[in-house]
Amino acid sequence: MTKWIDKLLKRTGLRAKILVATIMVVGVFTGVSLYQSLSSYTRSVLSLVAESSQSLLENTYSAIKYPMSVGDSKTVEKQLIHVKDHMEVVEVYISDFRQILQYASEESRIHTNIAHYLWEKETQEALADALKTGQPPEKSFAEIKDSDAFLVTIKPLLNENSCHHCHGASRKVLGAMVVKHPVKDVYAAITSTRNRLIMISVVGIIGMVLVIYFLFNRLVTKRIHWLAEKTGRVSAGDITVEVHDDSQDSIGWLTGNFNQMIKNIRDRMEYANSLKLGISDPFFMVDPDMRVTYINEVAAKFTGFRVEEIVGKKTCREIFKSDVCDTGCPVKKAMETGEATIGSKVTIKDVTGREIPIVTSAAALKDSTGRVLGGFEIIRDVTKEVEAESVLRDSYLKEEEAKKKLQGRVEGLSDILARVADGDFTVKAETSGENDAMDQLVQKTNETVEHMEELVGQTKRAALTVVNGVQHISEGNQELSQRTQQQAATVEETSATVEQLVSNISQNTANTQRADSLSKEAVAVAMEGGETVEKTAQAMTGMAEGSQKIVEMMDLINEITFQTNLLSINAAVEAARAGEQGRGFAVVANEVRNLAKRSSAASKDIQNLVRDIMGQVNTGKEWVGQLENGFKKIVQTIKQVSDALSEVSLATQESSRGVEQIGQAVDEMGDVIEHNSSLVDDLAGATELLNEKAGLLQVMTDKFTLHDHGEIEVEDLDFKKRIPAPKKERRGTKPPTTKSLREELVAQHPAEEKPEDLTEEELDEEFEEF
Amino acid sequence: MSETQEYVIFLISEQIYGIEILKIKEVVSYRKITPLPNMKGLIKGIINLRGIILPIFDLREKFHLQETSYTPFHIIIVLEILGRVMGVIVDEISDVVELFSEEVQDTSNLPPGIKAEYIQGIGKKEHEELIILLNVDRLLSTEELEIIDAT
Repeated sequence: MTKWIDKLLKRTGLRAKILVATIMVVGVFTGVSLYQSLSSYTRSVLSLVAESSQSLLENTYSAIKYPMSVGDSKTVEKQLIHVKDHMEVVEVYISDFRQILQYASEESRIHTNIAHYLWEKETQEALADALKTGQPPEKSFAEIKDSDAFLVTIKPLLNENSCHHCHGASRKVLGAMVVKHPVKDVYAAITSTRNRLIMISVVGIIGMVLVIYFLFNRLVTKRIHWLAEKTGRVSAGDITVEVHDDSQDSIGWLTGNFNQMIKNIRDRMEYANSLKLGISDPFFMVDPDMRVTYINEVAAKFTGFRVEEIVGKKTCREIFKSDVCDTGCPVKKAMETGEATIGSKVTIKDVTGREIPIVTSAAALKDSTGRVLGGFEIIRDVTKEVEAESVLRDSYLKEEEAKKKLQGRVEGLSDILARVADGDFTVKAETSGENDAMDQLVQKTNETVEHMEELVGQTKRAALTVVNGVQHISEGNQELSQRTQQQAATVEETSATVEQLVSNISQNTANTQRADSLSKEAVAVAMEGGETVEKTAQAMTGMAEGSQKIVEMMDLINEITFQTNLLSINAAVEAARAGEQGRGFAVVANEVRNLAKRSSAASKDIQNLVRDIMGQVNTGKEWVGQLENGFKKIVQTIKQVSDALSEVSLATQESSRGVEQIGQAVDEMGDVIEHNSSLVDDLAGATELLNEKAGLLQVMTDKFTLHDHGEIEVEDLDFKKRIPAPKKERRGTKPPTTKSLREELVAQHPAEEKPEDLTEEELDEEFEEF
Repeated sequence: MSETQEYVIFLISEQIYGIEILKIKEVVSYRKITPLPNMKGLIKGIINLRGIILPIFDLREKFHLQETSYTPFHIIIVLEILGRVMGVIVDEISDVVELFSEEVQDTSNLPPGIKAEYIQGIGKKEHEELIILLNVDRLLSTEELEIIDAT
């Protein structure tokens, strides 16, 4: 069964599944809620009716309770009839404990058994139970017969005190009161409500299912379906597919991922294609049947076909006429073994039938499960490498030959050089005429030998010149000896003159010292004068001070005069007061006043005099100051003179020392000249030795064999020409090489005298300057 | 022989003045004057002369002359004016002279604008400068005398 359901589920479409599921879910939920609401509605309506029956019953009971307790049956009956009048459809019964009706709203039913009017067994049992126990049943009871429906409510009537007078107290329950309330209308209403609800629910369910189905179809199913279609295309090999769905839900992301996936696949394929295109060597791919699936331009050119002619149409063997197609095709081998074959050398024929050596590398192409899908091969044309190899071999052989030839030529040159080493410069190496490096070497060697020959020739000539020169030196040396002796004599004379000079300078020094001491005395005298002037100045100052004191004393005298005058005036005043008796006193006062006046005038004169004196003293002071300054200047000047004299004295002493040193120097010079004389003798010996060596040099240079260029010229020694000699005939005469050295020496001799004279003159001049 | 009168003559700012000798009690040398508070004008202060307190005034103030600083050679003339004894500062006492009455000229012929109630007359001795003779009793006005009394 479950299998069958699974099968069904798998087979049905997504839409059908969703539709069924929606209907089921919505139907179950709506049904349950519908049932709930209907039953609660029915219950509430019935309980309302039951309550109204209960209240009716209670009302009726309370209305008949009193008439019954007093046994007024008539009133009870009337009451019930009232009920009947007011509510026709309601039936009220009061039965005794045997279920016989005592009162009823239908008069005709009195004294009949109540069970006739209760149709349901449940109701009858409930009544019997109530009569028995006195307990009212917990609910009302519905009675339905044909199209009528009633609600029956039962109340047992208990035996109370008020009843005892009629019924006694033996019975607990006297009877029961039953109200039968028609509920046909209520039931009809419930039924119609239920029908309406069900109808609304059904319509609602259908609507809801349709909306859900539509939405789901729109939001999910359709998009998935679309995506499925696209993926189908991708699986069929179309990778240009692109899906557009920018929703931000799972399907949107799924679409995005799908796009990314497709892009990755495209990138991989592009990468693989780029790899293929990037291979510059001839390259092709085949399927397992050796049919070519890809070939690049280079390879196609190689075969002579066009790319379009080959791809998918020809097998590998048809385009490459190779010797290995039958025996060991590298691609085939790679496809069979699954391993790459690298670097196998093969020969193939191109479109013109030319054989081409190549190196091939091949490998199998597999899918993810390892199944071989085909193979590829890369071909490298090695024609150029093979050619290069043969060229290399040829050049090696040529080089060997050249080397041997060169060796022969080097040996020839070596022989020539050996002869040159023995001193024979007449030989010459032959060139091959190829003008190569070896020929240049031979030329250079020849040039070198020529240069050396020339050099040796020059050396020979130089040796001769040296011999000549040495002889000249020997002659010159003798003259030098003579001159040195003359020099010695002159120096002795100089020495005597210098001594005279020294004594003169000493005299000078003594004079200067005397002048110095005189000037020092003058300084002392001048300083004494200065002191006297200073004392005079002090005396002047004393005078000025004394005058000042006189002035002060004059002030005192003035004061006294002033007071005296006052006193005399007071005396005059007193005398005036005294009148005639004071006359004499007035005269005295007058005299005193006159005296005071005179003394005042005298003191004023004295003051003026003293002021004059003070002015003169100040002038005197100034003069004395000037005098003092004058003396100071005199002292200074004399001191400067004295200092100058001291310096002169010192200078004279120094020059005296200097002259003494000159004397010593002259003496030393004499010594030197003496020493020179001995050196000149030594030089003569050395010159003789040199002469010998020069002869030896000549002999040695004669050993070299040279080309015969005639006689060797000896260079003229021209040192005599530097001396301003009067002997003109020596100049320009070249000494012939054949002439003997001795002869030349004799001829040169007279020219040597002039330098000595010159030296003497110069010496004199120098002396005079000194 | 006409009547003679002795005058003490003195200098104030190089001008010679004279006062009758009998009006003068004494002549003393200048000494320190103690200034009185809240006194201005001609009253310079007071001095103690042998136990008697004398008010001192300077005629410069009255004669509208420039003030000067005092030295020990200034003189104080002690006068008696209407029974009040007081001192007057002068520059110098020059002499005591005797003038004949004809040598004194009264002030009646002076120009009327000149306020000269305290000038007694002008003394003129031959070959000498004119002497302004002061009337001591009229030298000070009533108000000035009251001020002096107040001291």
